[in-house]
Amino acid sequence: MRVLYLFLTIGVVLSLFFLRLAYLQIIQYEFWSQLSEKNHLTRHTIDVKRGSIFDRNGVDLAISVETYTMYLYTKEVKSIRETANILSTIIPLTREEILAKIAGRKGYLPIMKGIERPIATKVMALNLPGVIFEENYRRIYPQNSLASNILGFCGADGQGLEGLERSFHDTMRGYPGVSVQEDVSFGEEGSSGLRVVKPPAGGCNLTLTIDSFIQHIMETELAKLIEQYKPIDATAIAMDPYTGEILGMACLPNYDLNKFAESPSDSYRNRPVVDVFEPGSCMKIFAAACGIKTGKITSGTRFYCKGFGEVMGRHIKCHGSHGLVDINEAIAQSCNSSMVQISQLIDSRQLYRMYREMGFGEPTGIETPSESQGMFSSPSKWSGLSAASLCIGQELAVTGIQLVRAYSAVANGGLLMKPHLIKSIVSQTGDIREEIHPEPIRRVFPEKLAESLRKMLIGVVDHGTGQQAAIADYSVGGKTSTAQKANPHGGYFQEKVNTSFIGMLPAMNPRIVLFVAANEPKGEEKTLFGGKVAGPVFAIIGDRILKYLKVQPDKHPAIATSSASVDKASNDTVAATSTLLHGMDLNSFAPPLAEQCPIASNASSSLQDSIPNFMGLTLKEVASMARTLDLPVRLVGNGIAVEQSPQAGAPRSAANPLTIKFSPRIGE
Amino acid sequence: MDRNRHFDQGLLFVILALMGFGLIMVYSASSITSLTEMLDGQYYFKRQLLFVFLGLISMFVFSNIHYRKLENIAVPLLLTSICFLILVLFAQKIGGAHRWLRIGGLGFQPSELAKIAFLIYMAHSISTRQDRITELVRGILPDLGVMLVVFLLILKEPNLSTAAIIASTYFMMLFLGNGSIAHLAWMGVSGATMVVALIFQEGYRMRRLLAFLDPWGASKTAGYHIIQSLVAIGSGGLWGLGLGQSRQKFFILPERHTDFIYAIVCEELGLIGGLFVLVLFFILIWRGFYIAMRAPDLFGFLLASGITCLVATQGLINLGVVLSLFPTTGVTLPFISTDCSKTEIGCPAYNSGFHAIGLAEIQAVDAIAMGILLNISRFGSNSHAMLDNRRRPFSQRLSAISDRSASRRRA
Repeated sequence: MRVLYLFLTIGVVLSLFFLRLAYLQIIQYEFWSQLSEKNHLTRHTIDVKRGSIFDRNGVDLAISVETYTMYLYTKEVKSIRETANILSTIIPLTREEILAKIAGRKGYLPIMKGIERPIATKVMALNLPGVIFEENYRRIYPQNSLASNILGFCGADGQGLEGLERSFHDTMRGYPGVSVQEDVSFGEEGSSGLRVVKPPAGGCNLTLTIDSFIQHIMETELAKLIEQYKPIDATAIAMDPYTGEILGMACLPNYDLNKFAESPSDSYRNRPVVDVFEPGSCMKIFAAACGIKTGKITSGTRFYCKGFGEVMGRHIKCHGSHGLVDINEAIAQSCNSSMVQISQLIDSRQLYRMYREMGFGEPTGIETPSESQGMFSSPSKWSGLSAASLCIGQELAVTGIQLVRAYSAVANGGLLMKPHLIKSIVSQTGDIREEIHPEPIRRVFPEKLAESLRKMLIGVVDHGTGQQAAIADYSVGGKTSTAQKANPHGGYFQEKVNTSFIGMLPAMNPRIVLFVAANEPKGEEKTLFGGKVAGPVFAIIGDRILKYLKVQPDKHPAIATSSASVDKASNDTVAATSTLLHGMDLNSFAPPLAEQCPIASNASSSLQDSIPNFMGLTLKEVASMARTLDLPVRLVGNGIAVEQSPQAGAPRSAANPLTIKFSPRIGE
Repeated sequence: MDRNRHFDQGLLFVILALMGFGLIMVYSASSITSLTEMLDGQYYFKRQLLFVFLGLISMFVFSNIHYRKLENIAVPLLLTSICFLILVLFAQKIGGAHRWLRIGGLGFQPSELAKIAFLIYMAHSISTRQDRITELVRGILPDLGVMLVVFLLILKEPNLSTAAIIASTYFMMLFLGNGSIAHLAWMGVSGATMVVALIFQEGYRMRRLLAFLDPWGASKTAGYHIIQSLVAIGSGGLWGLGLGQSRQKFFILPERHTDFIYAIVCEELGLIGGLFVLVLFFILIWRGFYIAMRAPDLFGFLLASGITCLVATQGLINLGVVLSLFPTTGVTLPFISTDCSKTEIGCPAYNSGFHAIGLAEIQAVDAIAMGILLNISRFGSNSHAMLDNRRRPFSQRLSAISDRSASRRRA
């Protein structure tokens, strides 16, 4: 029986074991399996360096590079002298300097900061015991001062302090992610069990709309302007009017981003966005637009300038006596008197609404920080003089970017676009996080009106105040501005002016809107006009940018030879024939591929006397052009025009009828 | 005496099942260790395969040696093993203990030999002392003295767990061999006191006990082992993670293919696998006692039940440790665990024949014991050994046992 007792005891113990097993595996299962999971997960942090900034063509503007800080862990170093000897052959420190840094101390001693990668790898390859490297990132701006106003910089702790570095700090900085490795796949696969639990965030690269070459053009030309006129500052903005992309935004004085601490903090801000000024005459075009839009001004409206405008019994001086002018001429001559008369024609609420619609008094939303919205008060606060002042660009303060945005609406046919500096945000692994597309804010005036405004602006450069902004190869439309700076104690300074030129080119089919301004240029008072100071710089910058963009010169339209294979853009070959067109009025020039032919009413008599060049145009374009010019044409074939008879430049009477032969496009 | 030509097939089946299952689990549990330490994922598996093979041979050999012949060599065998136990104390320490004896190029553990020798001697001694077994001086003290000599010698190595197994096996054999309950009670109380005293005496044993009582209090040190064992078992759930899918075997659970292999079994095969092993052991113990009860003589009965008790004690202690029901101690799971780990031996010559033989011996002891048990089963009568006293010479003594127990019950 004792056997039975013993056996039963053992049986009871075994069943106790079973109960224990069931308790652990069924009831406490959750608890233990969580512990098990934890046991086998090793956490790794995934470090991300700060994202880079590229220009639109991928040129590095701001990059982070690994640098290393070297430490000596004295406990592991075998021979400090020998280690110092070896190190001194590689790192730019002498043996004595290294030993001085150790100075007989023990522990974890920093030897050298900011060691470049190649040097660090050399030292690492030696595998010296006790020599430890810590990886850091350093921000480098390879283009030094280029676009410094836009880019801004990072402080020593990697915090973005200015410019895009500040406003996109969270996007660009890297938040380390976490991955876990499950150590249950052992063998050759190694880290195959790596699973990302928290992906690293941020660390995105910015691609700007800025073209560093354009930016460079602008900065060098502004530097010349500064040299000549010694203004407080000079700014320039180039924007694609159709997309709102800022191609260049320069302001001087600028500073070397790699040595920002050496420059006064006054030079850090992005003046075209932060600083406000009274725009002056360049606002006249919007006053005119308001008049035309509301129907108060027509092509027949005439203004009489006797050298000043009168409002509320006060005289607003004009810089000349322009006599009887129409609206085109008033703008071209920047006639204050006419503007005062316009202000009396139109309702002040309508003027207010027009300016508001053009985006004045409202931030553009451009990406650089501390954008100012300008100053533009509502009509309830206006005095009797206000409407007149606003029409000549006083009593309001704007930023450069607001002006460029407003002029872009003129250039693109009436759409107010949101200006932007960022083209795309891309993660370091190449995933596109965000792509910024053109964003129209609102339509501010119909296309027809925009078109006639452009013609007014062409007049300014053609025979008005902005003749110095004219370019040999391209038509230019723009407006000068010479705004006397307000005296804080009342009134205006006579000698302190803000001179600027804003315009678009090529004038009727603009590729860019360009703004050039100089704040308080020094020199002889009489010469400090927008047209004189900013105009020539505008012309040079505009010319260089358009040539860089390979925009076809529109003052010498291509005349193709009889061969269809000749590209219509290869205008060099047609220099001779183009002289035939010299008499052609700028206003009447039709860009070859324009949708509508804007020659219509304003076509001057000189053009009507000769036959234009139809080469390279499509059948539809030729037909439309011929209809507007009222030319009898005979169209032969299909495709693009390859032959015309009589030749371009021949007297109109020779077209009897004008025969144009078409050939299918190559490749069709 | 008529001879039953057949082994107890149930027992044989259970032994083979345990060995085969052990092989599979050793392969799974040791593969990671083998790969990193020996650069061969099958290293421990191959060795275990060899040991199982040697074990099967020795089991076969001993199952064909008449168990009663063992009684003749009981005393000399015991004396020899005591000599070895004394010798080993003067041998070189390996892994902090004098457990290994080196003879020529070969080595073995005298304590393993002592287990078998002790079993045979006690079966012999208790069975021949039946007439005076309840007397303290003539019946108990000589055997107790022998037991204490062996116990102290093994304790001196030091190897408390083996010593305790020897002591408890003696206790159970005396219980089955009609020892007086009063003596047994005294022995039990003093034995337990001694074990407690020994635990308090040694720092590491004390730490293990404290860790057993509160594993989370020392989760990084002494409690780590226990917690990781429970993690392995608990995370297995009902069906387990799947064979070979253990996560704890990746350097988390120490002694994963030796003492703690049952935790890996439970992790990979879940409650079902754990129950399977428990059931196999239960059948093994059942068959062991069944064979013992059917043994033709008291020596056979005591030998068979002693072997069963030895295996049962080892198995229960191991399972109890793994399930955190006993304090941690180094007892392997019979038939399933492979030999001691490299770290325990801590000897660079681990790979040499010196240890291979010694390790084979550890495996072989269980197999030899099973061989003896199988041999005893061949002589089992069709009726119960303790009840059927018509044809068995020793059964008169057995009937006396039953009469005594019956009269005690009446009283």
